[in-house]
Amino acid sequence: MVEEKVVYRTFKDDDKNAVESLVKSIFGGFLQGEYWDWKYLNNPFFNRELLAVAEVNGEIVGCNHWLLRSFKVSRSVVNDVVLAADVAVNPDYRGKGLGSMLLRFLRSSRIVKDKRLAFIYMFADPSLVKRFHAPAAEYILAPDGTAQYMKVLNWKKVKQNVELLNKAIRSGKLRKKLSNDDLKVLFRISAAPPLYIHVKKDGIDVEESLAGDADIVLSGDLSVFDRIKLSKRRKWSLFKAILTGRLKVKVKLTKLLSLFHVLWIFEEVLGRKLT
Amino acid sequence: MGKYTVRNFVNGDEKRIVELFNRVFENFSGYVPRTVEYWRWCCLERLDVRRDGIFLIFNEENGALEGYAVVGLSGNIWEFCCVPSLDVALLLLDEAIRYLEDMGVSAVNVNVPESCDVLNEACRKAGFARVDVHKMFVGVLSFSKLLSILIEDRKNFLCGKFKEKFCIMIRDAPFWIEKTLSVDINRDGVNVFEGSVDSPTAFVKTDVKTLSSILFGIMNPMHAVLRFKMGVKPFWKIPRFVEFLDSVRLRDAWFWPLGDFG
Repeated sequence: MVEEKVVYRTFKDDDKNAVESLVKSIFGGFLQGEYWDWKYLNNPFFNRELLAVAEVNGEIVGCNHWLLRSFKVSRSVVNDVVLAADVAVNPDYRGKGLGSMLLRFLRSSRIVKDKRLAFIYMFADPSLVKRFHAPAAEYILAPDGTAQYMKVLNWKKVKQNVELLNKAIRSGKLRKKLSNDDLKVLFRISAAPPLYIHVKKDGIDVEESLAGDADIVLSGDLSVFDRIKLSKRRKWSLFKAILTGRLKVKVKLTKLLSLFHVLWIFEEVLGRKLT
Repeated sequence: MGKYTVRNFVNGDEKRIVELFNRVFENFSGYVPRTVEYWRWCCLERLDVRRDGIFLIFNEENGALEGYAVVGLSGNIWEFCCVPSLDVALLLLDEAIRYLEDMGVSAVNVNVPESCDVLNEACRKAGFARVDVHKMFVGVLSFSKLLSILIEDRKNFLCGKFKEKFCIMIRDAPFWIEKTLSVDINRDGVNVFEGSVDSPTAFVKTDVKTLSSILFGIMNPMHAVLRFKMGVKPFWKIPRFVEFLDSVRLRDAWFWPLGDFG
């Protein structure tokens, strides 16, 4: 049993490098180097007792960061609460309950009892909450009155995605083939500049403007495109958005079949990071 | 339109910025109240924020700070705060967008309170679209503490209206949550504690998720009773207990500025 060998304890100064490299290996570019120092060590609310680590044979294989902070609970009440931040578990030890144990370890910590903290909050992907946080720690959706807005300024990242795809096409790594037809697609997305994608026999181009009419025009709200992108079954989400009128499609009849042939390209290009 | 001047942050602006933030969002909840120390860490020392990305807008007539935006090179407007004026909000958003365009950033994100019509209108006018990227979740660590802080500012009302001893039992409570807690309300005060109260006037049985949802204002207490998620004995005490929960539960949805996210 792995649990028998795992030691759960609070963070010590000597753990800094090990925790940093674990977090870096899990979150990649997002939480590396100075960012971890800024977020935790330099944070005025940082408390070592609220950073738990899981250790196996002297090696740190998991960590869970909590941040104590003052929080405005209602218009007239400010209280200390906890922000649950990054949980990282070495991939070799996943699925063995380490994440849940780290969570439980912090919940039973002295500081939580001494300060009589009322609640904990966090920001997370709802699917992860359903699978991990809700069963392990009884999380519920918070009373959210925040309007989140976004505006796309350019399609630089889409161009980068297209470059990667073109490289893969040229190297013959892709099993799927490009259609023999020339296809010009225009995406009209709210809060974003128009996106023109030109599918040619030998590759794909992202263009500033199209010479001539687009064969296919897809128009809709940024949030609709976002939802399709995040969906597990993207094609089904795309059809659902079209059927419900949230996404409008104009296709030249002669190009209808080509649309289905190039769907995989849009999935490759738009499924990655766009902004 | 009034006359405004926009400039970048200089040392010494922190105090005015923090005062403006706490004043503008005074009627909202769900965020970390700003102190100079927290603001310096959250905004000024943030790795993607440069001083030329912090814009302050002043009223030319009286020199008052009317708004500011902390714009990060990751495309996030970590703090967007201004007096309720469409002109000021639009000026700030224009500055932020121009700055990020010059820096070659792909997209801009900003959070505003859902119930603030002026800021929502400004975002729409500046060409933003609503998205639903991040979700906030809460988990209770102690029901007695949560009830105590919720009761705090309604104490007088409760003492005048109730004379009850509620004993609440939580089904399948995990180890960190009280299995039983009691609320004793009388003319002298309200006492919330772990364990059973002597001769309670009502027994309540519920679960963690239901009680959390009610207290955080997500679920109506009457719905919980009607859906058999909460049982009250004797049954004629149902209206009293529902009334109690209804008067203590959170009423306002929370607003979290992007800076509080992480």
